Parts: sequence; structure tokens; C-alpha cells
Amino acid sequence: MVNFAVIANAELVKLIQASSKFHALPVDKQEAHLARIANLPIDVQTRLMEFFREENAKEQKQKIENLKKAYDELVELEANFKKEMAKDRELKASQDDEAKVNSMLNNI
Amino acid sequence: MKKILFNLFRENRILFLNRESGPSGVPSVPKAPKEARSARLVEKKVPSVTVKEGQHSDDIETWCEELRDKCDDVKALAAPITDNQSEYTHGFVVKSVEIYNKADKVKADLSGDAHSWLYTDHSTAQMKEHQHEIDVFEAALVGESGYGSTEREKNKDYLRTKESEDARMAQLTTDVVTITADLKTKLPKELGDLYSNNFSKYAKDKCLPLGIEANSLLKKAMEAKTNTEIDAYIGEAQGKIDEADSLAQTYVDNIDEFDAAIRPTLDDKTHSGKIFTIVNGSFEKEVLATFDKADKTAKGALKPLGEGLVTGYEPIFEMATKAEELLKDPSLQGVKTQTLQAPFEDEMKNIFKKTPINAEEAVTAGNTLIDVYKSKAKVADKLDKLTPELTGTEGQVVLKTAEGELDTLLAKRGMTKEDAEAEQVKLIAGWDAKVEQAKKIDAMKTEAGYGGAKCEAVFVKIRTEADKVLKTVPCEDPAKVKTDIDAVLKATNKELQMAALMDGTGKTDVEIKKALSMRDKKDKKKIDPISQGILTALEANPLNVIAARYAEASQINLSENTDVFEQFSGDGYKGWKQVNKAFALKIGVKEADYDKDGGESFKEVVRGIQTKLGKDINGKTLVPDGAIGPLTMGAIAAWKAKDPKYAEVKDIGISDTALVAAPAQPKKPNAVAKAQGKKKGQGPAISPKASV
Repeated sequence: MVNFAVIANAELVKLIQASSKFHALPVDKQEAHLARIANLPIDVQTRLMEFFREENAKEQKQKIENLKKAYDELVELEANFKKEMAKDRELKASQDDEAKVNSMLNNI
Repeated sequence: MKKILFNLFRENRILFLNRESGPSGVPSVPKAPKEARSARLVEKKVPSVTVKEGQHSDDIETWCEELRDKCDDVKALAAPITDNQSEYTHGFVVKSVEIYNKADKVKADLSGDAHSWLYTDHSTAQMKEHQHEIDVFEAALVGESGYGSTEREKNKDYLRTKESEDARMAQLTTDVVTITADLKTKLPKELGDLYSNNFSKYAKDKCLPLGIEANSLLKKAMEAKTNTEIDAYIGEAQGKIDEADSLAQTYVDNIDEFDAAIRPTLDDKTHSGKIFTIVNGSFEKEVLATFDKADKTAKGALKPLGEGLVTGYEPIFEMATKAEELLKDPSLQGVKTQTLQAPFEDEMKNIFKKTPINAEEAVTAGNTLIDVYKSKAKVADKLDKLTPELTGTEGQVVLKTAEGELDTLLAKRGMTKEDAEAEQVKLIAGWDAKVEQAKKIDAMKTEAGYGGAKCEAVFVKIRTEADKVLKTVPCEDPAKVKTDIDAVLKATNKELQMAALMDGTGKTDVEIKKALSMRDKKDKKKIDPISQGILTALEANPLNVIAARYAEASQINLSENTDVFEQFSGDGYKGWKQVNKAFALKIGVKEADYDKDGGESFKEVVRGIQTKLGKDINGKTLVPDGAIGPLTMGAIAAWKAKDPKYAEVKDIGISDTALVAAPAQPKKPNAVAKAQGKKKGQGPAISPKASV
């Protein structure tokens, strides 16, 4: 696990933790960045907070869209599946009928 | 359009880095000078976030919850099927497993890493595609943090330049697409397409490869070890983009200048009409050909070409204006004249068939065509005006002949102005002569005095002879037409006179001639009973004497072979009017009254008589035209002699005594003849206006 505690600025930590892109970086890189950020002056950290806020807002917007997309996809799959269910029932019924008729014919 | 751009760049393996607008598409970057854009990047501020604190997180939670529920729904739907497979078909069971697994995986993803929903697909390929976004994010983080001076500078330079060049490339591509689309809207469509296709091809062949080169130079900059190398690569990349910009700009400037030169002419609303359609089409063709052939890469190369085209076409447009005015001339809108327009257009089209046009030759040919059209139009217009006048049978023959001649004239192509003028003069003069004669004949035919059966037979003969003349004598020789038609009339006039006499008296020509001859010889003893009957009838009252004089006049003319027709058209009317006047006086109209109203009241009286009698002695309808002629006189005489034909007619509106006059009365018509200056024994001339 990456150690965020090296940064004293709790707000900044929260913002970095919320950044998906930051998490997408390899762990060694994440650690290197955290170590460097920890030593930055306050004004630069403040600027970084702005940067992360902006990035996170964009990311979250994107996440919502992705979730909506996944939801819609699942709804569509469900609807199609229900249609298939209905079709399958009819198919099964016709197969059963056919089997019955065949059986009767065989008996005769 | 953004999608097209994106694809265009992807095809060219150009990567757009640092897209500010995220998944919504290509960023819309305003075009700005290079320096300004660089400065903007240096001073880049993080835009303020307007989303309320926690709002996104709440939304994400909501959506996660929704999605989780949906996963449960789907799993619940599919699970019983996988559990009781025997009740379902195999294919359907496979599908149910698929959807169950999908829902299960989505649910698992939801309960996993919260960050994973930035990139929904965690496949390697997908992540690779997102890798550059993560790279950019990292570079930006480093840049904002300001740590690691060399790396920072390098990344900042790279980012700044990359963003700048990306923006410029995006702008260039947007410009290319926008310009191409704009050019397409230029009218006419062919020209718009040509502009746009040319530019699009040029941009693709020349400008975009420079952009690709710039992009690879920027990649090298990213890999470079020193700032000097970075600067060199960046400088070179900027140079490439500048060059692409400049090439595209020059090309577009050339198109704009060319278009500006030809546009006012192309859009000129006064250039309308059938001829302008032809000329405009030719102009457009020339514009297209000129543009296509021209070198669009040299600065200012197209403007003079466009201006030259317009100047070259000015005299052609003047000629076309004249042609349009002529076609719209209100005095040349008759049916025949209109038929000229289609061949005129055809000939005009021939002039503008080839490209390029020799303006001088086209104008000369066009003007000649206009002159020829004017001459032809005069001929057609003449026929248009004559048509309503030529209603008689003879007139119709002339009309048909003239129509044939007009058709021949219209079919003639490539006439010179002089030839057309000569044709025009010849035809019109010829028609005038023919029409004059035809009208004369038709007028004679309609005369009531020649309405009898015998006269009609003569008219058939006249028509046949006149037809021959009109069909054989060329119109170009009006004098000959007149002479020949006059000859026909002269030759048949004697027959016509005798026919009128026969119709008027109801006797044969032999009987009439014989009776008159007997009377002239005054050999009463040798007069046979029929001739005596005729003479008695003739002398029974003054009206019959007038009829006799009428016959006598014909006889004299016949025997002396004089030109009776000339008398008709000469003072014959006057003579016959005097006959009418004599009759008027005889029935009690006062001379002063007769002179006062020019015989109008007398005509009314005669119309009354004609109406009451109803028919001539041959049983044909007596037309109530108010004019005294042989038929009316014959009918009055027969009525007076109590002819059974008129047994039912008790009263004709005038007293019997007025009509019963002593034989001494014939002095009156002699006086008439005298008044006409005729020789002794020559009766009053027979007017073509003479009535029944």
C-alpha cells in the first residue's frame, strides 16, 4: 500500500487519494511523487490542491458517465434477454408438442 | 465533423494529447498567433470547478446503487435458468449464463477498486489507449508541483509546445474541414465542389504530412536529453506547422481572390433568361476549367485569371442582353414569332458549345444571329398579323402557302444578316400581293349580288385558277402574282357577270343574250315568244328595266371584251349606288332625304322588302342586306307579276303603284349611266357591292 501519511496536508491527501489517475500510476511512481509533494512549500501544495480538485472533478464526471453507460448496457441486455426468454418458451413448447406427436406416432 | 477530424488524425497516426474537453471530443481551440498561444500556456490557470462539494461523489454512489440493483435483477432473472437447464434450450441456457456472468462481474467491479470506474474496461489494450492520458496527467502534476528542475523544464517545454502544436494542428485541421465545407457551399455547386475537392486534396497531400512530421519531432523532443535538443526539435516542429499553415493560407487566399473576381458575375441577377442560361453555363464551364488548370500554390496567381475571364465575357453578356431584349420584345410575341425562339436558342447553344470560347467570334456570331432573328421575326410577325385577316377560302390558301414558306425560312441555319434581310423583304412583299388579291376574291365571293348558284359555280373555277397562281408563282415576284391573279379574274369576270344575270332573272344566258339582241334590232316581228316574255318582263316596270340595263351592261362588256373587273373596283360602286338611288326615288323616298342620310333609311326600307319576300325567284334565301341587286329586283318583279312563289306575300311594305310605272320611266337608269359617263347603251357598271 502506498503511504499517504508522508504528506501532512490532510486535504491534499484526500484529493490525491480520490484521484483515479494518480492511482493508475505504478506504485513506485506514486510513492516517488508523494515523497516529493511532501517536501513542497505550502503555496505550491495549495496550487496542487487546485490541480487535483480540477482533475478529480473531471474524473468523477467521467465515472458517472461510465456508470450510466454500464447501467444502460445492462438494462438493454436484460430487455433482450427477456425477449429471448419469451422466444425460448415458445420454442420449448413447440419441441414438446413435436415430441408428444412423435411419441404417439411411435405407439401407433 | 469532430469525429471526421479525429479519424483523419488517427489515420495519420497523430495522437492528440492533453485534450481538455475529455470524452466529448476534439477540443475547440481558438486560433491565435503562435506567441500568444505560447504565453497562454505558460500562464495556464486551473479552471475553477463549479460542481458543489460532494455532489459528484453522491452521484457516483447513487449510480453504483442503481447499477448494483440492476445487477441483482439480472442475476435473479438468469439464475433459475442455469439452475434448471433441462427446461430450456441449450442456446438459451448459454445466453443466460453469459448475462448472469456479466451482471456478476459488473457487481464485483462495483465492490472493488473505486478508481476503476474511470476506465470501465481494464483490458490491456484499453489501458494502453488511456496510457497517454495518464502520462499527460503525470507530466502536468510534475509541472504544477515544480519539483525536479531539469525534468520540470523539459516537461513544461514539451507540454507547452505539444499543447500549442496540438492546438495548432487541431486548428489547421478544423480550418481545412471548415474551409472545405464553406467552399462546398459556393454556387454553382460544381464550382463549390471543385474548390473544396482541390483544397481538400492539397491540404491532405501537402499540409497534413507536415503536421505529422511536426508531431514526430515533438515526440523526439520528449525523448531528448538536453534542453538544447528539445529546443531544436520544438523549433523544427513549429517550422513545419508554420509551413503547413502558410501553404494552406496561400491556397485559400488564391481561391478567395479567384472567387471574388468571378462571384459578382456569377451572381448577377440581371443575367437571366433563356439566352443567359446558355451564356452563363458557358461562363461557368470556363470558370471551372480555368480554376482546374491554374496553379493555386503561387501567391496571387488566380486573381488575374478570374478577372480576365470576367473581362473577356463582358461583350458576350452585352450580346446576350440584346438577345434577351429581343426575345421579350412585346411586339414579337405572336404565335408564329414564338416558334422562332427554340431554333434561335439552338443556334445560340451551338456558338457556346466548345470551351474555351473565343469571345470575339462568339459575339460576332451572336450578333449575326440576333440580326437574322430580327429579320425572321419580322416575317413571322407579318404572318401573325395577317392570320386573322385571312379567313376566306382564298385567304386560307395564301396562309397555308405563307406558313410553308415561313417554315422553310425558320429551318435555314447559318444565314447571314444580308441573306435574312433579303428573304424578309421578298417574302413580305410577296405575301402582301397575294393577300391583296386573295382578299379581293374573297370579298367578291361574299357579295350578295354573287350569291346565286350560277355565281358559285364560277367562283369554284376562279378558286381553282387562283390556287394555281398562288402555288406556282413565287412570292418574291409580287408584280407577277398581281398580274396573274388579275388575269384569272379578268378571264372569269365575264362568266361571273352572266352568272349573276342568270341568277337574277332566272333565265339562261342564251335566252338573255337572244332577247337583248332582238330588242336591240327592234325587230319585234321576229321575236320568239320566250324572248318576248323576257323583254315584256324586263319592261313591265322600271325595276325590270334596271335589271335589263344590268344585263345589257354585261352584254356590252361581253361583246366588247372590256375589263369589267376594273369597272367594279373603279367607279362601279358609285354607279351602282345611283341605281339604288333611282329605285329609292321610285318607291317614294325624297331625294333630299336620300342624300341626307346617304341612303341609310332607304336601306331600311329595302331590308323590309327583302325580309318580307324571303326568297329570290330561284327559291334561295334573300339576304336582307338593304342593297338593291338583281335578285331583289327579280323577286319584286315576280311578286308584282303575282308569281305563285310569292302567293303568301301580301304586302312588301311599299305601294304597288310606286312599283308600277309606265314603260317611259327607263330614262332614269339611262340618266344614271349618263351620269357615270358611259357611252350610249352602256348600262351602269355592276358593283361588286351590288346586292341581291
